[in-house]
Amino acid sequence: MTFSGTIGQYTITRMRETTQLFAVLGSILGQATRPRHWPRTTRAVFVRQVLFTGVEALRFVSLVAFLTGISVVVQAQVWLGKAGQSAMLGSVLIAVILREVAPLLVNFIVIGRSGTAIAVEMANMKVFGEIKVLEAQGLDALLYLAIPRALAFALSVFCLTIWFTIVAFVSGYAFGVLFGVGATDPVIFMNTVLKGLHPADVYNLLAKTLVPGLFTAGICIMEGLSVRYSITEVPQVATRAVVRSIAALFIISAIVSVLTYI
Amino acid sequence: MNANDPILEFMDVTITAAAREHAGLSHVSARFGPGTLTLIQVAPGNEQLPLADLATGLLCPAEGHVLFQGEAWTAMLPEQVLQRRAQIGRVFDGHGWISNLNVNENVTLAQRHHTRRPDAEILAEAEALARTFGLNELPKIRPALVAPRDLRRAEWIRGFLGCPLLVLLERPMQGVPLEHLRRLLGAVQEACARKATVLWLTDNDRIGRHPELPPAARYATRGLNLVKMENG
Repeated sequence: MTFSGTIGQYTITRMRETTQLFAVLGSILGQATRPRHWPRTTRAVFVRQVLFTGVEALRFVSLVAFLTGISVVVQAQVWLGKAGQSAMLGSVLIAVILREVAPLLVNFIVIGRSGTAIAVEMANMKVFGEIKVLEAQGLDALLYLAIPRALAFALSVFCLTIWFTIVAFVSGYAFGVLFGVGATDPVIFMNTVLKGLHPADVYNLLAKTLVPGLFTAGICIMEGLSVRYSITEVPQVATRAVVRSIAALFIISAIVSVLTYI
Repeated sequence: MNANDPILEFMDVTITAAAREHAGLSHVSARFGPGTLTLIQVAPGNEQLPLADLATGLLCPAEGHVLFQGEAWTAMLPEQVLQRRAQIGRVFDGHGWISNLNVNENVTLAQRHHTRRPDAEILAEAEALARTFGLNELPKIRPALVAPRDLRRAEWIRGFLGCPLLVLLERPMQGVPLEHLRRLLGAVQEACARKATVLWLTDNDRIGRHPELPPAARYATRGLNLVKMENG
C-alpha cells in the first residue's frame, strides 16, 4: 500500500472507531434517562460497579488527595503569603485543585484501577464465548454489560473528585497550621476557598468528571470486545484501552477548560 | 400460531463451516413440534454442529430460514429476538458460564433479567431442580471452582428453569456419570409433557438405546446433511 493509502486507511479506521464509540455512548445516555426500564440484573451490575470503581477506590484516592494537599495547598499558602497575595489563595486553589488536579488524578486512578479491569474482563468474556452465552439467553450485552458500567464510572469519578477536593483542602489546611503558614482559623480558610468558587467551576467539575468517566468506560468496553480468538490479545487491548482513555481524558479536559474559562 | 404448529423449523438451511467456530450444514429441513423430543446423533469430528446457534438465531444461515414460533429470526426486531431467546433453555457444548458470577447467579440470570418473578421463587425452583438432578444445593461459588460433573448438572438446571418452550441440550452428558442420565430423562419427559420441544445433540450411542428414553424423533449427521432415521 502507498504512503497516502496507509494514512487514508488509518484515518478511516480511526473515524469508524470514533463513530462506534459515540454510537455506544449515545445508547448509554439514552438508557440512562430511563432507569425504571432497567431489569434488576442491570441494576445489580450498576451497584456492583459503583462498589468496585467508587467505594473500593476511596482509600487510595484519599491517600493521593492527602499528599496532594500537603504538596500543593501548603505550597500555595507559602508562596502567595510571601508574594503578599494571600487574598488570591481561594482562586488559585480552586483553579489548581478543583478545576485541574482533582479531576485529572481521579480519572487517572479510575483508568488504572477499573478501566484496565473492565477491558480485561470484556476481552476474556469475548475469548471464552461468554458474550455468546449472554446473547443465547436473551441478554443484551449493551444493556447488561456496557450501560451499568459506564454510568457507574461516571458517577464514581464525580463523587471521588469531590471527595479528593475535600481531603486535599483539609490536609493542606492542617499541614499549613502545623508548619505555621496560612490561616489558622478553619472558617477563614474555608471562606477564602469558597470565595474563589464560581458557577462555571461547577459546570467544569461536572464536565470533567462525568464525560471522561463515560468515555473511559466506553473505550475500555469497546477495546475489550474487539479481541477475536486469542487470550494473547488481552494484554494488548488492555494497554490500548488505557492509552486511548488517557488521550480522551486530556482532549476532553482541554476542550472543557477552553469552553469554560476562555 | 396454532397449538400444534412447530416451535422450531429449519427451512432448507445451509451454513458454511467456519474453521475455528462451527461445522457446516447443507440444505437442512426439519420441523420440531410441541411436546416432542428429537435426538440428533452427531458423528465424531462433527461435534461443533451449529444447530443450537441456528435455533437461537445467533447464527444466520447463508441460505434458507430458521423459524421460531413461526417467525424467522432474521425478520424479528432486536427486542423481539431477545424476548424469544428468553423462552429457550440451553445446555452449551463447551464453556457456558459467566466467569465473574457465581453458579447460582449464572443459573438464575436469565429469569431475573427477563421476568418479574421474585428472586426467592426463582431460587426455590432452581433448588428443586438441583435436587431432581442429584445436587444437594445450587453451588454458590464461581464456576471455575465447581467440579465438572456438578457444573454440567447445574447447566441442566439452567436449561430447564422457568419452563422454557424450547430446550437445547448439546451433549449434556459430557463429563457426567451415566448413572445421572435417568434424572435428565425425567426432566426431558416433564418438559415434553408441558408441550416444550427438546433437541438433544449427542455423540453417545448409549443414550439413544436407553430404555427410559421417551419416544423421540431421530436424526443423524451425514457429512453436511442431517438425515432422519427410523425410530429404533
